[in-house]
Amino acid sequence: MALTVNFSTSQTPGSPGDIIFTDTSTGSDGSVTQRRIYIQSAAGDYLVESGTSTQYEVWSGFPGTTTITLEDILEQDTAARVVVQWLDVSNNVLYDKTQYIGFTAYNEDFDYELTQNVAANPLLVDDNNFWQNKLKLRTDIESGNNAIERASDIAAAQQCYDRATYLRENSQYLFNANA
Amino acid sequence: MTVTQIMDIWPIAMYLSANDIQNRRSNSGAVDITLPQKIYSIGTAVQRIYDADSTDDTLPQTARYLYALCGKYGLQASVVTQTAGSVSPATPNVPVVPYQFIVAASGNLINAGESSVTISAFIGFNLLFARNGIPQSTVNTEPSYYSWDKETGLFTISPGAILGELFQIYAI
Repeated sequence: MALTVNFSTSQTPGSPGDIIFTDTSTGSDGSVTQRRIYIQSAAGDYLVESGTSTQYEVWSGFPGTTTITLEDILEQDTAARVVVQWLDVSNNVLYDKTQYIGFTAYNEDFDYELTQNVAANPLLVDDNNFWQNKLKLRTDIESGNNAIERASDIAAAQQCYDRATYLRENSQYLFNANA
Repeated sequence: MTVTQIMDIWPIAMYLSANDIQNRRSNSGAVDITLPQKIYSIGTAVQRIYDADSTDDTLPQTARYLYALCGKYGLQASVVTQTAGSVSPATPNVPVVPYQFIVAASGNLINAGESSVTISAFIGFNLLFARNGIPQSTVNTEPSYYSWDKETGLFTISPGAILGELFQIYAI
């Protein structure tokens, strides 16, 4: 059966800088010997792990190795154009797949921290400053996701994620965690 | 209330609270109009952790808070998930197979010389009986008639079955 390429990504709570890639291709093609992962931000930069000199990460072991974790590749929530290529031994690209993805684990993790704060201190529920900013955080995350899902618009998504990141990075002023 | 149960009810509690707020606007009354957003904000954060690891040790506290935030809407939602989610399917109305045969000495529903039989499969239905191709009635002043008790399934004919007659009996 011919090879139909595809992949998925995920992030684990608590490890917001990491991305887990899973090869969900079906079928087979004996010519494919390697894969490459390109992660391009809205600014056009290619994101790679520390020590990588190319614009891509090598995903070896096709077809046996179906997952790879790229560690500490993100510094903040990022909207990205992700391309995975399936190549032969001569580095010819035989297949490729492009997805537009929002990696939001930093701000999602922060949102859960706020949830833990309010669970431990229920009086925060009456703090308008806390709640309004928590709702803004949620709205910014989901607006970014929406920009990608509806229009593959990583530029608009990144702006949304950046607003959420601002809330996170200035949390000491915006979330009265000691109320 | 387990964490899993809370994960089931919070989305329902969210829309129940939103509906209640919408209804109260015409009736006045103090209500936190941001409650649905608060439930959503907390619910999505807890749901994400639950989906990643349902045994996360922070979940009991945050999920309980979520349930408390849902308040009375959480109770209503739990009723929705426990009792209002299923309806017994209607029993399909399967047509009952009619009887059609030539009266013989044995081997049929009614054999030669017999004048009554219980037809259990026809209980609850009305019955149409044709004898030698002629529809029969229950008027017992006629030379040929029948009776039918739809409660017990007792079917009687007069006169009794005669060898070689064509009987057609239908449930309707």
